[in-house]
Amino acid sequence: MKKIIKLRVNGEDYEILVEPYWTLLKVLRDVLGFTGPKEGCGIGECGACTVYIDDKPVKSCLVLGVEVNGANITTIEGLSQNKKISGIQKAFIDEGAVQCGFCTPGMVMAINALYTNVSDPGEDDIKEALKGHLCRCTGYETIVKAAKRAKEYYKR
Amino acid sequence: MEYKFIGKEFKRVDALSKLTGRARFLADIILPHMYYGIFLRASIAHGEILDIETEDAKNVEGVKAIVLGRDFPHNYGHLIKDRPIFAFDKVRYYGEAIGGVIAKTEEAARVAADKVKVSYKPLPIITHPKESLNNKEVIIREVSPTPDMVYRPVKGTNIFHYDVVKRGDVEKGFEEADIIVESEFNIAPINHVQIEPHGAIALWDEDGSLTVWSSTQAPFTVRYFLSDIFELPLNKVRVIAYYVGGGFGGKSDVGIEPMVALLAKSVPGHPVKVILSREEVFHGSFLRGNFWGRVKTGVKKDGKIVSEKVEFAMGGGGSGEFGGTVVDGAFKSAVGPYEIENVHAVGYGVYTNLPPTGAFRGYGHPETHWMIERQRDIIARKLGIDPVVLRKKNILKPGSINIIGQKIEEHNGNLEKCLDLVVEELDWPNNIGHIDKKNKKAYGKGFALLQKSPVMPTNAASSAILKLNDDGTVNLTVGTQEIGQGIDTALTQIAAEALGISPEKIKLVPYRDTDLYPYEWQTVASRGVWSVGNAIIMAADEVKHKMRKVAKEIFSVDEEDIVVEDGLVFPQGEKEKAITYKDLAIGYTLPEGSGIGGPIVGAGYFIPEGLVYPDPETGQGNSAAEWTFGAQGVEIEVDLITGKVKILKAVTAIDAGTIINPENARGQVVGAMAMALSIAQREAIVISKEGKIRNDSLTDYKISTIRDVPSEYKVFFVETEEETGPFGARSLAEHGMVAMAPALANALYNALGVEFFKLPITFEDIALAIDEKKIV
Repeated sequence: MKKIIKLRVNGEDYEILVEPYWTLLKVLRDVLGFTGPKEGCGIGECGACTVYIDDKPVKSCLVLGVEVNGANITTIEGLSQNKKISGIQKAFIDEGAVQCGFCTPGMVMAINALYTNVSDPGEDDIKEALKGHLCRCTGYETIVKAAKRAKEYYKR
Repeated sequence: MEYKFIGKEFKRVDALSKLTGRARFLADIILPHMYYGIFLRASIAHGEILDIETEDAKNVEGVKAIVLGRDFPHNYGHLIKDRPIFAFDKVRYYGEAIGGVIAKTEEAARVAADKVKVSYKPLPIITHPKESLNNKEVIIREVSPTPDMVYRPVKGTNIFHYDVVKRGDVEKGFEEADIIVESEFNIAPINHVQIEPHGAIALWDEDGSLTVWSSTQAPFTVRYFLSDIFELPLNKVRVIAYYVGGGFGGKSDVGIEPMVALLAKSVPGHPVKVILSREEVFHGSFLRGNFWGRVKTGVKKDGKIVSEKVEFAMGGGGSGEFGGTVVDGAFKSAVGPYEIENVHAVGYGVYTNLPPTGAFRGYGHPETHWMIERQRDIIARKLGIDPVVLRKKNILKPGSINIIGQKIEEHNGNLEKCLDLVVEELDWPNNIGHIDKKNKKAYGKGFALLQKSPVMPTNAASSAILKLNDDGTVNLTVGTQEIGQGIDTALTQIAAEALGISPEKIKLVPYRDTDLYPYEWQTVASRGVWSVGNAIIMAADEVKHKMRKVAKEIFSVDEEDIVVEDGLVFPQGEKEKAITYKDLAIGYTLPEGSGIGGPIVGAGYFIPEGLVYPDPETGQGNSAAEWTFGAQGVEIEVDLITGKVKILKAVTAIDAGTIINPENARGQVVGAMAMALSIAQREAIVISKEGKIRNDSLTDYKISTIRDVPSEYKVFFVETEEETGPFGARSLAEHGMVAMAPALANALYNALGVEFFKLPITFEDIALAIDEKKIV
């Protein structure tokens, strides 16, 4: 039985009809067209689908759409505002931390969330924040560098 | 040489779209009136299909069609034609697709798929290549050689292909040797684990034309196979590809596209979409096959290798079509980057009851180097000489002849310098290994050498089109794919250099479409920069030639007196009269108003000229282009209680010719090192007695996380300019994979005094070895 839910996504309000078994990831991607969050495994192993529910990073493949009725969601598409990209996005470009780009949205969301909680994260904080995020291209070197580099942008 | 844009910092052209979620991948595509497909997969690893019961499934609401292998019993391929679209006579591995369900929703398709009942007559299974090589009772696939077959199957066996190298006389060489060293090696099967699962969408139009959207490294090869299978002219098959979320070879062979196209054929007018689940990526795509090999080496006391015999078998899975060429790649590097007078190498591709083997970053080279670079250290130890000295006595240098009979030239690169850089970084031979009993730790250093050339057909071609826009900017289209390696960025720089305008003025049009973009064989073998780069230079020459032709009219001088330089066009010695590309882009308007010339487009192509098929009996012949040489090393710390290995430093020195984009090149080498160490330390497909893959999830099949990778990476580029490469560049994207595993095992010996002969070398293996040797 489909249900009507309300979601605020990246500042816009939506009222949509969803199956109770649809994940938030499916709702965002297939119903609302926010394809920035990626599905790498569908069971919370890879981190590519990370979004914020009320500012908290969550793997959206592990949450049902109906569970978050009324929630405020931010996806990677909502991270750049007024055509300005966030500090971690800038730092990813600076450090050459993008390769295939499939894990990138999840990595970016996780690091940006880290900076909202910790102003001066150390290497261990970064690794802790990214331990549930898999990348097969980079060997993580440039991602860690970007996470550190982002500090200069968040300070301002 | 000095370049304006080559070797300079230039940020990835695809970075911003990938960072903002705008970049498009296959799964992001939703088309009107689209249906969803789910594959039916075999529940046993080997057996005849007796009956398939679909009535209950058909009655599920929303189901549109059920397609079975027996509806279209067809084996496709180009080299041996042994790959069914869906299995129809028997299944040869657990999870092999035997058909599919199409429904209005994914859920309906899944519910229906669960209701399909299949009965089998089970057959005995074989999963190890050595066992398959010697087994004549359990024949997984009967193949008889035919004249049009490129592979060489052996009738009555599981061998679907083999290669031979013969130089000199190995037996005579062994007689002359002072010592003989024999070793046997094994490697477990592994999966690519691209974070993006495989997927495709297919749509048949009422006019019989087929469009396929796919996450593929090889849109033109997909088009070729679809046209061949469905008997369509190539211009009735269109393949569209967006960014590939990781390929590593696993999206270059054609697997999912014919399956989805066959499903969609039953519902013309409706696109059918299939995205593999993560489990299906493990048992329903491609693997790097398991590997067994034996090496016998004859050496003089001074370290000169006089004779080497290599025998290996690669598990090919249930179909050999895409695996046999991996053997073709491996055999050319069967003894690594060494000059040896007497060599006999035989490599076999054998059927096994596992998913088919396909391309995997390194293409047979990590496998042969695993054996050879372990063997070199073992030999050095037996002779009591430094492994650096042993290698230097035998490595390929300018003037050396490699095992396929090619003479190494100066421009092929400087392997010795790579070796020197790595051992210097490791501070070799100081402190190469010791045990710290007090702190329950051991430390070791190890290194290994590598070589690789692109494994490709002798005629693997590329092309490129440069189109000038009215404002002097340029659109570049190519058929090679952006799979994360940064090809779009490197090619933009090459076009900029060739045209003499800044890379910001050039747009390499993202995504690929076989109807609109020029031909490319495949995006594999690290050959994109080299092959497509050359095509771009030719296209730029055509652009410049066309501009000269118009400019000679404008300036009333001979064509050869027109200079095209830095975006300006002018008569020799009269730069003040210069006009710009913008003035000529769509035709020039003379002062009186009449137009000359026209819109300028330049097309270029490249084919590796002069390559020939290897001699079938000896493997000799100019069958490999642009070798890249390198050296790799590691420094490790071993926890003597848990066996856990920490990589303190991972080093690569590679002579990849001119480096087009240093940041992205380093990214490729570092990424490859990390991937190779992940594979060497923790990756193995675990197979049950029944032939089922037991670890088909990212929880059970572990790849390195951010906490498991080396603490420090060092990369050195030696830049000996490649004569055949664009601005002196050659291949580098796979090479960081090739010698890391033997470097790690060599370091483990130096740390613990234990010889490892199989991959992976897990922490458990190490802890058991420590226990057995009573090290603690």
